[in-house]
Amino acid sequence: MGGGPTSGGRARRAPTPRLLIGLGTAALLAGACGSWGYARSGAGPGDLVRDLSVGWTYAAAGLVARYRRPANRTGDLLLAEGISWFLGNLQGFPVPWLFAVGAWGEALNMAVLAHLLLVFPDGRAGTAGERRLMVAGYALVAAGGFARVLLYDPAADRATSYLACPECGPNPLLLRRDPALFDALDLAYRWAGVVLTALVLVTMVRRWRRASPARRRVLLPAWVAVGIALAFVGWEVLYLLAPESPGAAGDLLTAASDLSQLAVPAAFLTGLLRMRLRRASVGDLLVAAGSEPTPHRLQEVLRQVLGDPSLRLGLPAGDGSVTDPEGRPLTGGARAVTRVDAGPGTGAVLEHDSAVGEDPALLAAAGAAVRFWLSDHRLRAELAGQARRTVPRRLLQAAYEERRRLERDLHDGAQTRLLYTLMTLRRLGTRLPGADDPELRRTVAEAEDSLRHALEELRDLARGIHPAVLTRAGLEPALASLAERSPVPVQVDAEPGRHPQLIETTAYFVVSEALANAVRHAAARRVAVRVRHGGRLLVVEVEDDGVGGAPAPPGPGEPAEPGDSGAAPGTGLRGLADRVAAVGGTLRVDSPPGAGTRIRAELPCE
Amino acid sequence: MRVIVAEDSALLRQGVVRLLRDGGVDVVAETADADGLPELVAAERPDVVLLDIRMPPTHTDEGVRAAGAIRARCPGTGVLLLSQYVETSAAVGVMARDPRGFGYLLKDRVADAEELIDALKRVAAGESAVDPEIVARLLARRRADDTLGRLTPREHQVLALMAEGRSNEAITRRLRISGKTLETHIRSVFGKLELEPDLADHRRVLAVLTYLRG
Repeated sequence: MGGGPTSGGRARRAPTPRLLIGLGTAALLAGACGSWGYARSGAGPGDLVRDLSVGWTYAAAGLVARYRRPANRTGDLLLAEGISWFLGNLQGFPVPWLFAVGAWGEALNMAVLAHLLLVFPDGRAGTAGERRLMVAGYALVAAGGFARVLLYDPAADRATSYLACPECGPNPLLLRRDPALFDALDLAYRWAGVVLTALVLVTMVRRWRRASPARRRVLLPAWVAVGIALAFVGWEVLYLLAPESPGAAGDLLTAASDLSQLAVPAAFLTGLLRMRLRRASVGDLLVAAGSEPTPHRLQEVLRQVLGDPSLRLGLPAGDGSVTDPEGRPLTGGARAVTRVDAGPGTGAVLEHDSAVGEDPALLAAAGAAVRFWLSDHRLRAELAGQARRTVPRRLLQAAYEERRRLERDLHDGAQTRLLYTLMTLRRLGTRLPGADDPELRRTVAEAEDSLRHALEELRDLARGIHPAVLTRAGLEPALASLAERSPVPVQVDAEPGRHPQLIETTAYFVVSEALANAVRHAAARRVAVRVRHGGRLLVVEVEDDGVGGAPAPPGPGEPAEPGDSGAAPGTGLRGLADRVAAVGGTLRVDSPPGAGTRIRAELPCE
Repeated sequence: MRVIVAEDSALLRQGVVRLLRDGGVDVVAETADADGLPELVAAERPDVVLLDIRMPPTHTDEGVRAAGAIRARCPGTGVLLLSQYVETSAAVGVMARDPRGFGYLLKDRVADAEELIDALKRVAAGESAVDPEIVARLLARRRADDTLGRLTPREHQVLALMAEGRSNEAITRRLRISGKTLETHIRSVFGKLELEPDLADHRRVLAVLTYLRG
């Protein structure tokens, strides 16, 4: 997927023009119908203008938001607010059932507004408490509003609605005319609304305090709306305290709150359109995670930024599975899964609530941050690995240099001197005056024999220390020479070509040690040696048909027993594992009992 | 026979020169490094150059490279290389260039005046000389198919001597057999090894060595 995050969650696309026109028409019709009812109940032209402007402004803001931020639910809510704004006006209709619906849903727009405030600007509630508060608002309107309608007689209870409408109705749902009971219920209904409003305010204050500066900037317009909401509360309280004194103060308040309400949808829209806080907080993600975050810390920050406390960050475990920072495997299941690719073998997985996927751009940004972290992490690991390798590599290089020097010294020194001695001895043998003396001849022959043996042993020793042919002609001739001296048949299949000296020497000793192991411990009858180079790897394989059962070498860094010509099978292999690890390679030993031994070394040629 | 000795160890060089002069060989020059060797050869026009494979400065294959330069500059000059180790790949590699007038001996042979002078003579005459130790190693190689096992002991001997680069005449002398008998053996060996018969001596040594190494 080109490294981009992919999401299993739903992603909403931009609405079609037809849908926007349809929704706009619905809002216009709702306003027109509402105004007709409102006017019928006795509202003046000023009232109508105020009422229409507020409702339509909400609807228009909703449509713009829906168009510009299709993934965000806030646009829907603004539109719902705009349409539900006119619901109460249905009480002015001469149709009894419409009157009942209007009376029932008169406060629905308050619940929608509370919803809007609680989810702004993300379009979804952050905490369970916020979600409960949201549901409580709707429940109050649904249940409380309905109970109130059952007792509401518009002819009797004149001052209970913003509509002064004794002719409205009749209320087909009216069960009982009991003004005292109605007043009590109405009061309780309103107080419940006040309590919920207060709770919403508290929540908003909490969210404000939790918010980063970037988020506060976006929240600010909405918090202007809170001021408006407060004006409503003030109006409601005033109304509760002095229901008998509407007059100028009431009119003024209504006018002020209606007018300032015009600013509310505009404020929401402004905030929404300016919403870069999420992307900003994705930037914050990197800052908050710190320079060397643990997977735990990264997961925590992702949870905050994506607003999903149930989010889990899955990272590849060694065995190919994907686990969260606690080591539990990620199953995905019913939840949405977003993959973040950051190169081979380093992909991460975000398991999250499907709602998170409704903002694909946000997920993409978070994915980019995770990818950045992964690359950084891998880079660090590689650097650390390099540092771990450099020192043993240098030591190994120095050891090989030393071996080469030693072989040269033997060649130039002892071997040459012994050879000269042999020449001299032979001259002596042929020129001795008593050359016919069989005793003397035998002695000279013995000395000569002994000297030849010494030369031979010295040569074997020197070759064991460092094979000169390896430096001169490369791996293939050196391995062929090794095979020729082996007491068991060895088939060498090596691609020609030269490699860095350190790698050639290491490869040579891998084969040499494996051959020694096959002969000494495995009682092999034949051995196959294969050398291939593909890409940047030199692959050396030695396979025998012996008894198997060689112990696997320890991992790099684990101590190997000293001496690589030990008597126990595998001690030499342990030394090999260290040498191979020192050049950044890997050594594998497969040696099931009774089924031969297979040794495979992969050496990087860089 | 005019010979140049190139050997970086002064001690060994002196020993070899003395040994050759004692054997009646005319050592026209001696040198400790391979650098100016082709020029020296061009000036002195020896029959053979006796040359250590490992020479300064890197002590790896200077001798082999010098041999190539000598042959390029003065074709027909024999070159006898001396090697510290038995390395069949190097021996076959050297021979593969042009086995005529080329030899490859183990360094230990310098103690044997007779063998050394014999090899020098053969190389000077345009024949080849491969160390018996190298041939023995090649023959001892364990191989998957047992072709060599199908040879008679006599055929085995003939094969070894051919691999050493010896002429038919030398082989008949060594084995005390007639030329006709030898030819029968050679045909039989080549038949069993599935090699092209009727090869000239120098092509024969290469074919046999290549076969044994393969």
